[in-house]
Parts: sequence; structure tokens; C-alpha cells
Amino acid sequence: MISRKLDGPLPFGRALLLRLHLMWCLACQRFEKQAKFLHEVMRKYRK
Amino acid sequence: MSTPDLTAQFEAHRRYLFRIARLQLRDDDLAEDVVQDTLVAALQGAARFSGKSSVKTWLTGILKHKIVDAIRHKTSRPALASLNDECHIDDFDALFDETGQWDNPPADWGSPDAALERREFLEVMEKCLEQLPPNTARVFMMREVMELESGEICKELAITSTNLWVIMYRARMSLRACLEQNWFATSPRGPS
Repeated sequence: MISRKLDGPLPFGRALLLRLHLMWCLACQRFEKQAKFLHEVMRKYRK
Repeated sequence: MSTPDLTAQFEAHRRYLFRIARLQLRDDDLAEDVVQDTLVAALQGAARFSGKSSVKTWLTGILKHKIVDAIRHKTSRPALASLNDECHIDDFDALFDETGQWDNPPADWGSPDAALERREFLEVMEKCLEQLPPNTARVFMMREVMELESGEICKELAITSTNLWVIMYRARMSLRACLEQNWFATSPRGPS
């Protein structure tokens, strides 16, 4: 769902579930940070 | 901007355009053709270049369409099976245990933003991109470099949005693992 969110809005229920999950799951917090970092890397790559 | 100035700028950006095209198309000859078509189209349309965007941005926009055309001609209807075949979801399922928890959670990358300023990092990133299966790389580049919307990609490749999300997930998981292995887990280049 973290990856899915980067490509478009999640349905409300899923977005809420994801937010709740990210409150306690350290591993997923890291994955989210790293997925967003990948996006930044590609932005730099474009330039 | 005069035509000679534009032509000089075109040549300056040729290598960048070729790199993008090659990552997308995985075919040096086809990439060269696409870049050539892009530059020809740009020369023909030079009078319409308003200068509101940079030349590089403008050329990338033309290249995007040429790449999409090339993909469309290369595979008249990209088979979903081929997209599935080259990415084995089981490989990523192995990262999670039976309760859905990470078996090998992502390592802490610290503050990775500093890596963006390192040329060596971008070279590692490019190698990781080259290791992606061709169709996965194509979709990822269409989304992240060409900045096509999800709907546009689905339409061009005749795939569903669910397919797209799965492919993007696989690409991100592969790239994340590759960067962790080849940069962030390797000191002293890692974040410290």
C-alpha cells in the first residue's frame, strides 16, 4: 500500500489502515521513507 | 534562440537523451533511432519553442512521445504474461513471514539525502536500474522519469491499474534492495 500510495490516492479505508499501521511499524516506516527517497533520486536523475 | 544555438544545445543533451531511451527500450540501436527522431522533430519544431521551459525539458518531452511510439510499435500489445513472468512476486513474498511481518526489515539508511550529491551514488543507481527486468524498468521509467500518469501508462501498455501498482511495487522493492546492498550497507560510502 505504501508503494501504491505513490502512484495515486488510496481509498479512504485503506489510507486510514495504512496510517494506523505506520504509527507502530518501524520497518514499514523505513520502507516508506526509502520509497519516497527513491522518488527523489529519480527526480534528481531527471535533472 | 538561433538555430545554430539550438543545434548546439541539442548535441549537448544527446547523451542524456540516449541514456533515458536506452534504459526504457533496452536496445541501443532503437534508442539511437529514437534520439535521432527526437532531435529531428525538435529541429523541425524549433520555431515553436517558446523558451518557457529549458531546452532539456522540451527535448525530454518530445523524447517521451517517441519512446512511447517505439514501445507501441515494438510490441503491438505487450503481453501481460511477459510482464508477470519477469518479476517473480514470490521473491518478495519471501521477505515477509506468515503473519505478514517483515522477515528482513529494511535497514536504517540514516539521512540518505546526502547521497544525492554524490556522483558515485547516481552511478550505482543507474546500475540498479539496468538490473531491473526490461518491462519492469520500462514501466518504472515511464512513471518516474517520463512522469506519465498511471492512467496514461495503463492505456499505452494495455495493463490494468492493479498490474501497474504491482509492477511499480516490484521495481521499488528491487531498487531499494539494490541500493541497500551496493551503497547504504557499504561503508564508508554509507550514511555517516
